[in-house]
Amino acid sequence: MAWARESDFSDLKEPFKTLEVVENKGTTSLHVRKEELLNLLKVLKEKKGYKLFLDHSVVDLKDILEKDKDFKNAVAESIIAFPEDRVSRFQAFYILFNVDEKKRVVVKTRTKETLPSAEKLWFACKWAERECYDMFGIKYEGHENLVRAFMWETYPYFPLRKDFPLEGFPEEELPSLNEVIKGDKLQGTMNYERKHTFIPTLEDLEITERKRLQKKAQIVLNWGPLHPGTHGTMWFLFDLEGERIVQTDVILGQLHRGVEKLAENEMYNQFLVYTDRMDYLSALCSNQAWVVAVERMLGIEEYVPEKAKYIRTMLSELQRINSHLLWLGTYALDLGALTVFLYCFKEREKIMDILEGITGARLTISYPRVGGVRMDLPLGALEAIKSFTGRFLKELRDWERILTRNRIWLKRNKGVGVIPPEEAYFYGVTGPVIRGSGIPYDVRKIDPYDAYAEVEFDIPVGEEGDCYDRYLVRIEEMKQSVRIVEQCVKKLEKLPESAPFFAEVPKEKKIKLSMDGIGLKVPTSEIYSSGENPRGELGFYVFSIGAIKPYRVKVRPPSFYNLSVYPYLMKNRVIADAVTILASIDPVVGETDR
Amino acid sequence: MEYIGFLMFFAVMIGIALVMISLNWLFGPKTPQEYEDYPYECGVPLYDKCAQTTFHQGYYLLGLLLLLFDIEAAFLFPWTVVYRWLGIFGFIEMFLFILILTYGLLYAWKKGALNWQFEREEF
Amino acid sequence: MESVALNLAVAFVKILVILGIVLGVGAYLTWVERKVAAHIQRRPGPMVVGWHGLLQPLADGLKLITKEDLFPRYGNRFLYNLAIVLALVPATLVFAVIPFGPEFEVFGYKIKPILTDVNVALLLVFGLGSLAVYAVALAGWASNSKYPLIGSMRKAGIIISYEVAITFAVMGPIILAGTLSTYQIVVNQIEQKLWYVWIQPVAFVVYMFSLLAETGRVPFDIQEAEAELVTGFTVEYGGMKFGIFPLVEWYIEVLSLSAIAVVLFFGGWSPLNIPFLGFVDPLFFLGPLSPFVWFLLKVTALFLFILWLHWTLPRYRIDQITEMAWKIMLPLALANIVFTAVIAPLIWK
Repeated sequence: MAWARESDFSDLKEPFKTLEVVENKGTTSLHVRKEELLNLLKVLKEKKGYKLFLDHSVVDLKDILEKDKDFKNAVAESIIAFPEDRVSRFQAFYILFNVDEKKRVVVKTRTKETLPSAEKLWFACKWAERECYDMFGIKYEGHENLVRAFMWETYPYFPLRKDFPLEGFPEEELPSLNEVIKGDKLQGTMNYERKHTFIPTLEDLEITERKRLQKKAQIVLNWGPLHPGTHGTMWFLFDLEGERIVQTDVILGQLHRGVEKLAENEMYNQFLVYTDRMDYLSALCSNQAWVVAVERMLGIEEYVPEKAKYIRTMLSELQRINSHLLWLGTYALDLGALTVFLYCFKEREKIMDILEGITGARLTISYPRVGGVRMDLPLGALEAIKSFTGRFLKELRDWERILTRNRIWLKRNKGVGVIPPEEAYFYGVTGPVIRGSGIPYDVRKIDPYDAYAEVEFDIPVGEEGDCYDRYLVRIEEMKQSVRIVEQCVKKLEKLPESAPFFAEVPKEKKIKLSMDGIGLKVPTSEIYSSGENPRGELGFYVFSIGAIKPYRVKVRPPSFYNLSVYPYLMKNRVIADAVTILASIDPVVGETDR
Repeated sequence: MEYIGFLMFFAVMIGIALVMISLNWLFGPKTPQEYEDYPYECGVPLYDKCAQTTFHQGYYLLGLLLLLFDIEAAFLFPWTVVYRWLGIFGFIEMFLFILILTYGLLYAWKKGALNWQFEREEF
Repeated sequence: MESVALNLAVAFVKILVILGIVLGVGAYLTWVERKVAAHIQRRPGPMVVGWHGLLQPLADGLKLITKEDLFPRYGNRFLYNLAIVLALVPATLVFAVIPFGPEFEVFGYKIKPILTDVNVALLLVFGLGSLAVYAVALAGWASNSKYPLIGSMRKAGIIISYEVAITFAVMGPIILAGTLSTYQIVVNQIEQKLWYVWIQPVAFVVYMFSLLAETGRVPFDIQEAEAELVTGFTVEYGGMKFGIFPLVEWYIEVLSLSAIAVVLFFGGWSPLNIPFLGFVDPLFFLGPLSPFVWFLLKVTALFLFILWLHWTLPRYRIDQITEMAWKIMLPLALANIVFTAVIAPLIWK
């Protein structure tokens, strides 16, 4: 496991009086008082090598603090920092990664309402803090421009607090279209509640927009949300001086569905279907990351049968190719090469057909389950995959002939959007983006899950960190994925047809594991577990109090943090580079907004 | 006399253009709605209502160069037509002219005027 | 008096023929483009409306006509409409000086298949070509919306760069032909038994770059780069008003500039050329129709070449385009003029 040990921090005990180091099953955490938090983070970043920022959020402990039984359990498992403090309602956590020794650590603190802002240490933290302010109402001292991340500025509530009901507060009359057309005489099921949570008006949006950006140059251009170049409904504000962009900010939340709130109200297997809808282009990888996280919490990772592990690995690599194909197609489309787009979609269609044949779904797949996979491979699935991988590399070579050495392509990509390694840590980027900057950060190698420890593959890295390097990295990743898929197919062919694909947990573990996952209780614990998605590290911080539903799930969305580097890259570039850089970062809005 | 056809064509084309403009007004539906004529900016409220403001352009110097070179092209056109009858004298004359032109281009190049000017302060 | 009336009648017929070509063929080129693009992309393209989608342009036209007439609320209505006139009229007028074939006789009356054969035809072409920028600039400005504004500014940037390159590029063939009349240039090429492309390849390349840039074809389609500016300066136009702009830019202008390219570099209506020796006509069986067919074939070939580029290449960035024009194309064109001046006396012998 890629976690730091208690002994690593023995020298920090002295300067930090309130520091406690706790080594749990799934995490290693440093508990520190709010006053010393910023200093500790600074020391961790500068002295101890924890340079890469992974995630920061808050757990609302209100329900635990009110219930003695839950509180005692949580304290027994020491997942709450400073249990003697029963007033401070929020527990904040920062997850950091040591790039030299390849291990993680969680820093925790407790607060009533305010926290010091760590935006000077990691820019990514600025965005994470905006999100916490938006969802929990935490005030950050020293934050440059504390605005709501997803909701509009005039929204009065903080949705992820435990006292905010799942369905929201119905306050506004919003008649349905049927009611508008047919009048107020609807019968039966059509006659539902007309009161709804309110939606922003144009004035609200205008206030949001103006609070985001103080105009410095000539024109402020809204780039998105309904724009073909933004890969979804993302709303950028470009402050333009001519075509040069002086400053940029992003208004997220057009696709915000409150996935984390839903997670608190769904059972562990039910939440699986929401992971599909986060990064809808790589549903299988997200599914896999989630089930692995839950399996690790249950401690049943070793009981998951080999066949299931290989099937999951193989399918999520196929999904990675699928996702990268969409990236390549839209990237080329954004730079004007329309034909590559259609070529990519043709191959993508084949992968979709294979996935449909195996899992029954094309986009939102939900095929893995906690403990295995939903069903066995159908007859002929491996042959279909083999024939695909055989042809695919040839096709890929064809497209590379159109693009890779193309003079225009080089001119548009070389030296554009350069992310030096230090900035990559500062902005917390992961996935192909950080690998393009020359850092071999890949969760599949650092913290292997499923069958990744047993298959052979290389991690491609770039040299300059520009768009062209990210392009080459992704192209090479597709080739590596083909390699992994071929190894998995070979292994699966050797396994007998009757091999199990779902875990059998021994009786003494007392875990009620079934295919539908109803009533699956997860012991009181916390975990941060992540998987390598096509877009970067998809992490799940799960906080459980032994119920059938998680108490808090924080998703670490790779696209969100990858996107945080965008304003930095866009400074003093032109609009034409905006599409190049955005496409090379490749965000998916379903995931940034959740 | 040769231009009569041209003028007729011009008149016909103006007529066609006017027809094209009014086609939608003639055949299209007329269902006014509140925001249908709102300027397109990705479906969100405008930050700046008016787009007709100063807008820095990177090719101001190129525009000046265009004026110079186009005037010089106007000098060269008559020469190209009669070059056949000018002989060696015409060649030397033109060669010097183009030499000076090239020198001007190189000068502008060296000064950086051929680059796209992103910054306003550079010049 | 009678001859004047006859002249007018002939001119009128010619105008009708040109209009048929420009608007009919122009509209049908949308179908050609979609089919070509589709086959490059391994798909069938329009197949539903008519046989192999042959009635598609008609359906598109009907759809465009029956859209609501919209006007952006902060715009300037007069300039907004003037932009359409300025886009359509000059681009079409270029066809007045394009020679479609050699002179022929009908009932003892000699007819040149060219509307106005004047001795400044090429100057007229470039003068009218420069007017196109006004259409785009006005369209962007009058809409009073930001995407059109940026798009039109970009187009202006391209035009001022490639205007110079194209003017200097065509001087090579003019030196060789010794005239500015399009009809006479073709005749001279036939007399000299030489397509000028054989000794003016540099000029041809520069001309092609400028053609792509002025018509906004890939790799120079930045004024309407979809992923950046949605559709650039046409964002606020709807219905047929919108339809005019792509029709003019992508089809009529490409067609007219390709025709001029054929006139300047490929000997107009002349058949296949063996340099300095003569012409070979594999289409001799068509008799007097053969020159017209040759002219059409050459224009079509150029048009298909442009389509091929359009559907294969990515696009440049604005600063790269202008810098290429001034730093590569203009020096090349200047060097070509000197080169042509040196070897021209050899050709005339």
